[in-house]
Amino acid sequence: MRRKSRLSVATRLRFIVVYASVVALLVGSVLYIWGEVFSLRRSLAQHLLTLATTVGANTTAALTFSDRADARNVLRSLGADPNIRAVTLYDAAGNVFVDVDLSGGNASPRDRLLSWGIANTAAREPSILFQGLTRAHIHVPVLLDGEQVGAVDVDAELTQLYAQLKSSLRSMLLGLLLAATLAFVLSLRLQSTILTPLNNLVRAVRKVRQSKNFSIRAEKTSDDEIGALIDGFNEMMAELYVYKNELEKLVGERTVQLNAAVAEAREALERARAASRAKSEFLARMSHEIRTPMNGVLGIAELLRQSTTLDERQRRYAATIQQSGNALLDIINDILDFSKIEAGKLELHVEPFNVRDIVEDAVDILAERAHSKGLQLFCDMPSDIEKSVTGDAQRLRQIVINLISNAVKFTERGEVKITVQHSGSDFFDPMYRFEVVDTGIGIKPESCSTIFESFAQEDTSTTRRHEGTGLGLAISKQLVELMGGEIGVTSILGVGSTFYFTARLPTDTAAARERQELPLRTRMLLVDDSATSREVLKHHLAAWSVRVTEAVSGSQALEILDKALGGEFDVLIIDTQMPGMDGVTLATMIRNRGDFAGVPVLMMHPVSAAIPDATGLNDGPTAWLSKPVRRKHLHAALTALLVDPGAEQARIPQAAPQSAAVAETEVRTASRIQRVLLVEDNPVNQEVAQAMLNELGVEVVSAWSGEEALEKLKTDHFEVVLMDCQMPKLDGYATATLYRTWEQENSRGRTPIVALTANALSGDAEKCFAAGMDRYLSKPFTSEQLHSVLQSCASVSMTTASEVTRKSAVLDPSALGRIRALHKPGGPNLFAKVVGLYFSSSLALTDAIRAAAFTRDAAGIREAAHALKSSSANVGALQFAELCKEVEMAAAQGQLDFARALVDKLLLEYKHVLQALDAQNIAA
Amino acid sequence: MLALVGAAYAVPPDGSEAALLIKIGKFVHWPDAAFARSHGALQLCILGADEAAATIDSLDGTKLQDRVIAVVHLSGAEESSGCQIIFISRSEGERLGQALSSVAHSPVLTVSDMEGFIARGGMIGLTTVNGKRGFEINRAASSRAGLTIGAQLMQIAAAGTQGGKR
Repeated sequence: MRRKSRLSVATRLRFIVVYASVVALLVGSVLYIWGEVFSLRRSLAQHLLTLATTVGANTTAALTFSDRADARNVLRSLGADPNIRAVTLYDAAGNVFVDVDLSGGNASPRDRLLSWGIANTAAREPSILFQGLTRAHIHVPVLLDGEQVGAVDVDAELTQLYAQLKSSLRSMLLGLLLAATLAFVLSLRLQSTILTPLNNLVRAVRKVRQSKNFSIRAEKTSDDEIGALIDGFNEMMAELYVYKNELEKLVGERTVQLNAAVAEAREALERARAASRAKSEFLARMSHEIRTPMNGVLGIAELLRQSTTLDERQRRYAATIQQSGNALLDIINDILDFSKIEAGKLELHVEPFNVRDIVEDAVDILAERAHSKGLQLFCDMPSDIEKSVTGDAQRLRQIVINLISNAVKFTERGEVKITVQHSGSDFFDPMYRFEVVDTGIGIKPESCSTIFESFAQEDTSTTRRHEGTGLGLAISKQLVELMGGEIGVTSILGVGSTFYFTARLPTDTAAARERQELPLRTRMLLVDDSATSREVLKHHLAAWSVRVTEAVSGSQALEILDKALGGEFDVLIIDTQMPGMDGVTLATMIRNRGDFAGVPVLMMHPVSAAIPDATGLNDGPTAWLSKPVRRKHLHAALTALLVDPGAEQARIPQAAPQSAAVAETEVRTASRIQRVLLVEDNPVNQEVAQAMLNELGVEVVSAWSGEEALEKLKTDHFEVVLMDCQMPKLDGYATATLYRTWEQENSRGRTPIVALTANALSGDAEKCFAAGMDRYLSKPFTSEQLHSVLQSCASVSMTTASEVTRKSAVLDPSALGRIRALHKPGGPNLFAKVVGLYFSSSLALTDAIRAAAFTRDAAGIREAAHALKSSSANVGALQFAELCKEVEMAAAQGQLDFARALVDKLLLEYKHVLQALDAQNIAA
Repeated sequence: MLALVGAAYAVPPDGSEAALLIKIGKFVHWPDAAFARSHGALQLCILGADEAAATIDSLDGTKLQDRVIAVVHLSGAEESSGCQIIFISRSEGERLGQALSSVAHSPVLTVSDMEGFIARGGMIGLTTVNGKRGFEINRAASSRAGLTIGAQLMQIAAAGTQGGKR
């Protein structure tokens, strides 16, 4: 590629002129000098020839009389000429007569002749020969009387030429310099004739480019090539001008069209948005409208069932109404969900959560249903799953519950197992894989692909046998896809199915991972007849580096212990329900042995079964856990047993106390709440709620609008307010807000308000709490749910009432409220979890305080009191926490006796805290 | 050269009086009037008779300065009026004065091989020194006679003779 010249045309033009003139002059000068030199040479030679002739004439006498001396004298006279190097005089016969070498050399005449290539030394004609530039040979005959008497040969070196050449070159250089300067000056004047029109054109182009004005024309000043160029430019401009005008016209037309299209599109978008708004409003309304009559149906049916005046058949009918109603409610919820997904209304609420908690929650919820069918329900998760991830926990739980409940539904015997897998490298692959494996009826291979499609189920016959809309899997599929995963199933007909799905759950980097470590080298004997159950437990234990020895039956366990040394096992885990020897019997037998009597025992029993009579175990540390075992609870129980095995019988409270047995007995007991205000505009709902409350032995005052409610609240006293959220004019939220303001202004105690809402759409709970309400109950509700809510309000209410007499409550309601606010409808019972954790840790700590006080260990008291202080404050036991602080301070200051006195007070107060928390816990 | 060889038949033996006479004759200039009586030919006159004079006879008919040589034997000096060169042999030693005076004012070159010739008023004296032939020139005599003798010849004469130069 040729380099682009960056020189201007002017510069190049100047260069060309100077260059051309210098070259021409150079050639001329060289030729001239050449000619000059040659002509000089010839004239020099001619001169020498003349000289030689003259000298030759002077040698005639010498030649005639053969007088060599005379001849030599004559020839020597030639030495005056600086060019002459040698002279030879030949006689008439051509023989050397005299030779004079003036150059000082000693070459013979013969040698010189050879160098010139001359044979005839007696030629009659004079001649001049040249060799190179400067060497010359001159031959002149010597004549006397017209007769040749000899010849003179002169050998010359024309050194004079050099001097001439030198001076010629000097003049030539001077001439060149002059010529170049002159050419340069002339070119300056000449170029303007070319450059001026060219510059005009360049200026015109620049102007067009800057102004975008295509009407500009360049001025033509000559008729040469540049003139043609300017003509071309002007024509081009004219064409561009026309073209531009056309283009502008076209753009104008298109813009008009585009604007019309945009307006149309905007209108369509507006219509679509309006339609979408209408649809979601319709969904909300439908939700409300359907739930209100359903509330009536379900509520009254429940009341009917509990009525003592019905006979068995009537009671069964009522039960059928209730079951059908519940099924219908499920379907409606599914349809609403599905509609929301279809409408694109469903958005994932991303929050940090723990995968293990979600799966274990789902297992908890369905454990009872599985056990009642005689199915084993396990979950198996790798130990490193114990970390916080981000995603929509509620929706993930919905999918897991859906799959598990399906598995339980279609499995008649055997087990349902849930596994979670994760590649382990969160940063690159945040995908989690969940599997639900059952030993059920299975699915035909051809159905496996269609089963997740909307409104599809395995086949009609199955549909008949197992109720369900088939929406569950379709919703799950949509949710899984929203989570960036996929769902699928593999199945062998008659053997079982495996449903799996994946979800993208990035690790919550903010959440610090808590490490839970048991004392090192813990050895354990695990007695369970179910291999799956053993596997799951071993999985957990391995993560905590517990060494496990397995036994499949009571008798095998006894055999192992027989062979073992005392102290070989630090803890025993025993399943209560085993064929042959049951767990309690086995544990009692071990307690009665000398060698392992003091070893802590952890008993596992199914959640639905009542805790068996185990008085025989009271001799040693024993803990109880319900199956399926939750990792957290297992850890807490083992920690309690192992870290402080000397403590008196550690009883690990159940974190999920919705055990049917407990609930039923509680329902029968009269509520602690005596009088409530029921705010509800719908007559059916009024009646249902009134009936339920009456059944619970609560006095009900009805209000039919927000305004009426406010009036009654200001004049009367109620322990709890039940507030419908959707009411004409003043709705529940507004009423609650107004009332709370009034309460504050009049320094009245805070009356708990329970929101009743038929709107199951998300965001409701937050709205309720924001409006100053304390609890949340979604319609339709059961009398059991109603009772629980009232119970939870009871303690707060009591506290409120006693606030006048006591400076501070056992539990701070605001702290409790904070914990409750974490809880979302349908979500895990966080409150129960927190309280459960507090139970296990505080028991260990109070024991430690007691032991330290007994042994007068000030440091021990201080440490335990400090730990107890902060955990107590977390659950709202502020008074108690203050007491802990006093103990801590006393111990730290070495006032041991004062500290011990305070410890007694602390242990007493601790019982109150436990009671208060227990009441709250059941109510939650 | 060939031309020279061709002309060699006329060349008298080197060193003879005839050869010397011819060589010297080449460098002598006569006024044109000298040849008026001889009709353009060059008369070589011999006065006396001896061996040397006899060799000169062979020059008759040869050319000198583009003129044909006519050898004329004179019986007496008074006959020398048409001569351009007059060779006076040794035998005429007694009559020399008379001979010289008879041509004293004529453009006639006087040559002789007798000793002391130029001292007695002759123009060119032929000599033999150590066996080598040479000549002496009396320039005053030749000038008086209106003859011009080439400078080169004068130089040769000076180099070749002793005291011949005046």
